[in-house]
This record gives sequence, structure tokens and C-alpha cells, in this order.
Amino acid sequence: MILNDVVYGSVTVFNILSAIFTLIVLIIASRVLSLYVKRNLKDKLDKFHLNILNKTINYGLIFIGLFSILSTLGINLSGIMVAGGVTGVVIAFASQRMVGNIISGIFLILERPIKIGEQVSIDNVFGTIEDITFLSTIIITLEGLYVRIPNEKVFTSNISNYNYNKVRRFEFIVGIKYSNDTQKAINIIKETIDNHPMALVNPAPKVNLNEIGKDFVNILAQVWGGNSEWSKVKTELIWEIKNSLEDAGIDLPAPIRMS
Amino acid sequence: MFGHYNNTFELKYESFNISVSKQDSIFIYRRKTALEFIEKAIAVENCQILINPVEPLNTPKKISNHLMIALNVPLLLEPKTTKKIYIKFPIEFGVFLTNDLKNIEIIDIFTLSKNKFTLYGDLKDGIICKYYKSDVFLTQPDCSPIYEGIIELDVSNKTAKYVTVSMVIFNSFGMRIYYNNDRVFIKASMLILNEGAAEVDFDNISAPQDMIKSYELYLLKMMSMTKTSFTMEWGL
Repeated sequence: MILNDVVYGSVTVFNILSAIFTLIVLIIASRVLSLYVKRNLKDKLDKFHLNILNKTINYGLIFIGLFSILSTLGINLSGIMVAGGVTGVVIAFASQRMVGNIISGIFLILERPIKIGEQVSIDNVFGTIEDITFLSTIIITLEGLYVRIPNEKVFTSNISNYNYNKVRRFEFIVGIKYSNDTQKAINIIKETIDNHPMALVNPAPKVNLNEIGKDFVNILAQVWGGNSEWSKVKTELIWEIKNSLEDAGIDLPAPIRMS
Repeated sequence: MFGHYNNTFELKYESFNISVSKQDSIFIYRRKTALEFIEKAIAVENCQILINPVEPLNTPKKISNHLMIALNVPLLLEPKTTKKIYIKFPIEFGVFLTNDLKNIEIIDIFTLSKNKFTLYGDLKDGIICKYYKSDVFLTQPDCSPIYEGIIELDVSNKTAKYVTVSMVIFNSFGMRIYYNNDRVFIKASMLILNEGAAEVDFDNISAPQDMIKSYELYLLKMMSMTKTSFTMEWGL
């Protein structure tokens, strides 16, 4: 029978077919398991941990599968280990960067300076973390660009994580004329901030005279907002403060500066 | 004001209007407050509406599950005592479509109270809470149910020290709200664990006389969640 025909060494056609079958079963099993885990744990685990769990299952199954296939195909694993010692050194030299990326990826997953879904700035790329794989970190920028940064670079770069804390502060400088009543302007800005629902009560906002400049008196306002609302609060407050000051007859000769 | 309405109706108050009218075979829901005008078309045979107070955590946007009531005057409590106090909380109106009692649908939520948020705890691990300020009362205060409700709070200081309470934080899950057209009422308790920590929970009471239990939003979505208390661990 053809199944018993020897292809090489003691490996028969049957051995090769069963290796292919094992591989297909493993791929299907890893997909099914991955879907099962996603479906059942999506409410219990956050996206970041779910992603790690899924990758561990996928890579783990493939690793186990490869070893079982190799022994089915008559490849001596102990021989591979010995040969691996030599070839490992060669491969390690040849793929230093890849190994560096994998190790950096593991450290990123353990240290967790960034998580999937967070807004970050890495190496001057600003956007939302889409995925953290073993080799690279994927960022979708505000313009919708897909940016892949090798993990080694992520690990050695300065990372600004805008979602690390629950709240975030923004500030802006309002320049008014010398002829205007500064205290009145400060009070109006305070009242406008107080009237905005998303400008937090605590940490308390601060509005102070910041600088007596050459042409203007500069008022500095510092306001805290929740992470999810921060950008909207900033935009709305600038607009509302401008309107409130103008309604009160206070001129704004200089543009409101934000930071 | 609160209660069930069938098909077309109109409620006119100084600070808000709600109406349901019929145009051809469609019902039109309209709600107007000083800041907002909402209009929705409802395609149903009969339009059955329920208006009742809901957990005050949805406007202007649902970003928190916790309500902080900051006390205008901090309360100093002597050791080993329990004190009953009354505080006020903001009212949010929930407008439900109740045609199918198994599938009640919220169609609008609004408030006439001032919305504000705050952070409780530190920047990293703290929580964002809906914020409201209240005086402390020793008897039930008068208040207009379209703006404010009353929380009857039993504050227990089981510790051997004097404790000052300047705020109370409630979890939105498990909030049991009772109402009639004169007042909106919640019963809760606060157990002080030490000078900087307390556990706050809602009391599971039967409806007080002449009051109806509200159709709450978060009881509907609780699913497997069972914890209704909140532990204040970043100070009182």
C-alpha cells in the first residue's frame, strides 16, 4: 500500500500525511480556541490582556505542534538541540535585531508602559495603540496612518502615555489689554470653568495672573479634565471663555495660547 | 409629572416641556429645557411612556458610575455612634417607552440640575465621580422633586475616634430610588471603617408609604454584578 512506502529513512508517506494533518488540526484548533477565548473572556479581560492570552495560546500550540511533527518526520530532536547550539549562535548573530525586538516586546508586555487603546506619543509618533506584538508596536495616528514601530525602538524611546492617569491637565494663556479690569477677567474665566460640567472640581482649576507683558496682561488658566473628555473640554472652554470675556467688554487683542 | 402617560400628552413646566404628539402613524417625542431641545420619532402602535427619576449619572454624558455628594459643612461624628442625616442629590429624569414590559426602552434622559464631575483619589488609580454639593439636614428637608431628591443616610462610626465626614460616594449599581410627585427618596448607609475609609451602600427597603419604586437604569444592566456598595478608601 502506498501509505507504507518509505520516503526517506524510516519515514513513510503515512508519517508525512499525519504530520500535515496534525499541522492543519493545530491551526484550526488555535483559531477555534482563540475565538472561544475572545468570545468568552472579552467582558472579563481588557483588550491588552486578552491579546496576550491569545498570542500565548497561538504560539504555544504552534510550538507544541512543531515538536510533535518533527518527531513524526523522524527528525532527531536531541540532534537538533546539539545542532541548535551551533546554528543558534549563527542565527543569533544574524538576527540580533529580531531577538532584541522580541525581548523588548516581552519587557513592554511585563512593564506595561503602554496598553492597547491608549493614546501615546512614541518617537514623535502620536496616536492610539492598535496592537503590541512580539516584534513591533502598531500605532494608528490621528490622521489614520498605520505606523509600525519595532519594539526595540519603543523600548528605548521616550514614551508619553496620555491615558496613564485618569485625568489630564491643560492650560491656556489669555492676554488682555492693560486698560481692562484684570480681576474681573479672572473672575469671569473662573466662573466659565465652573460652569463647564466636564472641567473637574478636583484637582481644582487655577486661574492666575501669569505675566505683565509689554503689550498685554497675561492670565494663565490651568484646568483638569477626564481622559476621555479632555480634548473636548479644552476646545469648548476656549470658545466659552472668549465669548464670556467679550460679552463683558474685555478685549482679547492677542490669540488665546494653549498648551 | 412622574408617572405613566399614554399616546399623546403635554407637560408644561417653567423649566421644561415634554410632549408626545401624533403625526400620521408616527408618534413624535419632544423635550425642551433651557439648554437642549430633543425630538424623536417613535414608530409604535400605542405609545406608552413612563417618566421617573433615574440614577443621576447620565448627563451630560455617562462617564462615571459613582456619585459624590460633597457636604457643605463637614460632619464631625463622635466614636461609637450612629447618626441619621439627610442630604440632597440631583434628579435626572428617565423617559422610558414601556409598550413591551419585557423590553423597556429608554428614550431620553435629562436634568435640570447643574452637572459637574470630580476626581476622588489619586491621579493614577482614583475614580471620576459625578459631583454635587449638599447641606446636611437632621430632618427631611423641603426640595422640589424636579431638581433634587433626598437621601436618608445612616452614618455609623464604629471606631474609637472622632471622624470627620466631608463627602459621601455612592455606586450607581443598586441605587433604589422611590418617588411620588412631592419628593424623590433614597435610603442608604455609611459605615466608617477608620478615619480615612468607609463603606457606602443602599438599603434594601420596601417602598415608603405613598411612594413608587423607580425603574432604574443600572439594575436593568447589572447582569452578574452583585456588588452595590462602594468603599471610600482615599479619605472622607
